[in-house]
Amino acid sequence: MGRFLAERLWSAVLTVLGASIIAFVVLRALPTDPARLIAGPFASEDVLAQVRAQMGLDKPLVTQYLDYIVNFFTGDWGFSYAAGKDVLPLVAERLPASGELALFAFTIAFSLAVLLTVLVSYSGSRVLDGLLRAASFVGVGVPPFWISLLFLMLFFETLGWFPGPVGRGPAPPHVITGFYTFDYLLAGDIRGALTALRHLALPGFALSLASFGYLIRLLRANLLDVVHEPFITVLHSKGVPAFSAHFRHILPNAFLPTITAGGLILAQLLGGSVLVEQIFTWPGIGTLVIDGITRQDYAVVQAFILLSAVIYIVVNFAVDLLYGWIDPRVRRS
Amino acid sequence: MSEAPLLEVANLRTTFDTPRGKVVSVEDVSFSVPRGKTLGLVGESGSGKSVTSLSIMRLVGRGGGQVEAGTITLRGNDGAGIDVLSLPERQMREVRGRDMAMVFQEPMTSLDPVWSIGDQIAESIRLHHGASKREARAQAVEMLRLVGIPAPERRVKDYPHQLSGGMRQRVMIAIALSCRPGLLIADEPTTALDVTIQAQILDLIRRLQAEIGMSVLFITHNLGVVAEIADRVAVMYSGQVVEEGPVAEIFANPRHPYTVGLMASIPGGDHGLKDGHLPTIGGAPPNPLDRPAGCRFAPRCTLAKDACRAAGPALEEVAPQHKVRCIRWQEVTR
Ligand SMILES: Nc1ncnc2c1ncn2[C@@H]1O[C@H](COP(=O)(O)OP(=O)(O)OP(=O)(O)O)[C@@H](O)[C@H]1O
Ligand SMILES: [Mg+2]
Repeated sequence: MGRFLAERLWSAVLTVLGASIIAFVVLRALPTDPARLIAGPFASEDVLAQVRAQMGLDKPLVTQYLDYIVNFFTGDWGFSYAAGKDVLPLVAERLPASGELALFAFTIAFSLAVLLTVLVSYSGSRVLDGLLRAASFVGVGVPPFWISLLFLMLFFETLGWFPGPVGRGPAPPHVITGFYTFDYLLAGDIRGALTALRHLALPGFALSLASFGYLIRLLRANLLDVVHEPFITVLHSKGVPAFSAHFRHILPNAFLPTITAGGLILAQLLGGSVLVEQIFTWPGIGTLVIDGITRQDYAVVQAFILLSAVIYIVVNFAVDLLYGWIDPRVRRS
Repeated sequence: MSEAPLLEVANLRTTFDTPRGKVVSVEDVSFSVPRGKTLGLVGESGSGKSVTSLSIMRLVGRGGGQVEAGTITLRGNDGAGIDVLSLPERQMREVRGRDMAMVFQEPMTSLDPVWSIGDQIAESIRLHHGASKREARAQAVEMLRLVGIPAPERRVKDYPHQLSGGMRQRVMIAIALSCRPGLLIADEPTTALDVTIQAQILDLIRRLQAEIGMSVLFITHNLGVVAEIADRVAVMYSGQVVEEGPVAEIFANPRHPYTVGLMASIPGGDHGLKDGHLPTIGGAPPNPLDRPAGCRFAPRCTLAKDACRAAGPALEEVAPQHKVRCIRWQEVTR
């Protein structure tokens, strides 16, 4: 187990390093001059030089890179010229919004997909299986922006069941976790928590659909594979009941790829989603990054790339631990 | 031979619906396994040995097959017979693993990779004997010791990938024997193993058979192994039993040309047909979707005449306990 952890840690370090180099090089290779952007089109060469010195842009690239890494991990993520603020508080303000939406969407996608797929496969019904495949097909195939608009027309405009594209709704009195639902619950305000959930519902479901469809397809295929493994015949020859064979043998064996995919999906969702956030005016990280890109506010973009890498690594680390717990081959090899 | 056999298979017919048509994998198969004795079931690849054993366990349905006809009778110690094919699935599940157990050909894929071997043995014990977790675990250790796995207290926590093929097959045997079944079906249990391990596994099965007093249906395509381990032998060809009888009788006095050909293929054997032809068998078994109308062996048989091709011969008793499916059996000697 010790070696397993050490290996994971090492690959995490490599991933951060890779992502940071990409973020650094790509943004540096852009034709625009950040000093010019900041100082404005009419600034003199003197002023430009001053700005460059301030930003450290006159130092050698290697020094700039090292500064950038050290700064990132000491909490200095640079200054957003577009927002006129430090990047860290800016991101910190937006991250919980994306995080709450992502977690909501992920929980729905993952639990529904797993539950439905496992039950349908256990039932052995061809009709239900056909429906499940149709659901997966729709989930994967329908673009999220389209489904967002459809949801808004149906559940907001026509039926009026859920709030419209107004973001997260009223903020809780004390922001502790930054997740409105949890903060309301911590304050003992059930009604407030429900309001937060109602705001989450439409963007959350819209965001979850693709992952839902994908996870169904994956788990269904893996279940089918495992069902036909020879060791399942052996189980039946031992007299193991179908229920036990399905839930205690087939499912654990078929579940590993779903866990991996789940981790990737969660990491990706946590990085915010541009379209759904835009449509629902969700004050998340996706909108922030798009603004950063269009305004060439590269401190924001740079921080985002590295942050995504860190999120990805943390989630994957958790996945690997889970994996090792379920699959003895990973644990001991 | 006054005692009723432990297992009696009569006129078994098992088919598979495939996209290219109905495959009759097993047709009119009959044999019996005496109590405490071993029947060797031999035949070339594809002759229907595995389908026969899965039919007895009633597990062909998983592969899309169905038993269409025949009877399978399993007798308990009290002599009362169970009609296996008409048992409700619930009761059949109790019979599986408790009264009849099976060891498969491929030890590398026969164990659940995410369960420890101890848990896989204990699973059977808990299922059929209602043992507690701790009792079952203790018995699992005993089973591992019985099948000759060193340091069983430690090994019980191992996972399949930590064991060699031979060790895994020992674990499979431990699982199969954990509930002391009356019948063990061993479907080519040594084919995937190398020669020294094969001998060990054969010894193990023989030793445990004596210890537990069970009957064994031993499937192989090697007559040499049959000579070593079996009391009776049934020879299968293209889905049918073509000859059945006591090992000594059949080896001394084979009456089906195919049996004779099989014997000729045992290393060191000097068996052949009367007229000196066919030291080994030329040609290949017929495609199950397109079998000859008469005797299925006729296209490969040097003795075949028109009558052989006209109608399929029945299994006929040619000596006490010795049955042959050949109209010219009197002309066949080794
Ligand atoms: N699931 C299946 N679907 C269709 N046909 C099958 C299936 N299983 C077996 N058969 C057919 O049944 C026949 C007998 O197969 P079986 O596996 O019993 O042979 P075998 O004697 O055990 O051979 P081997 O020595 O290779 O194990 C073969 O012709 C095979 O094609
Ligand atoms: Mg076989």
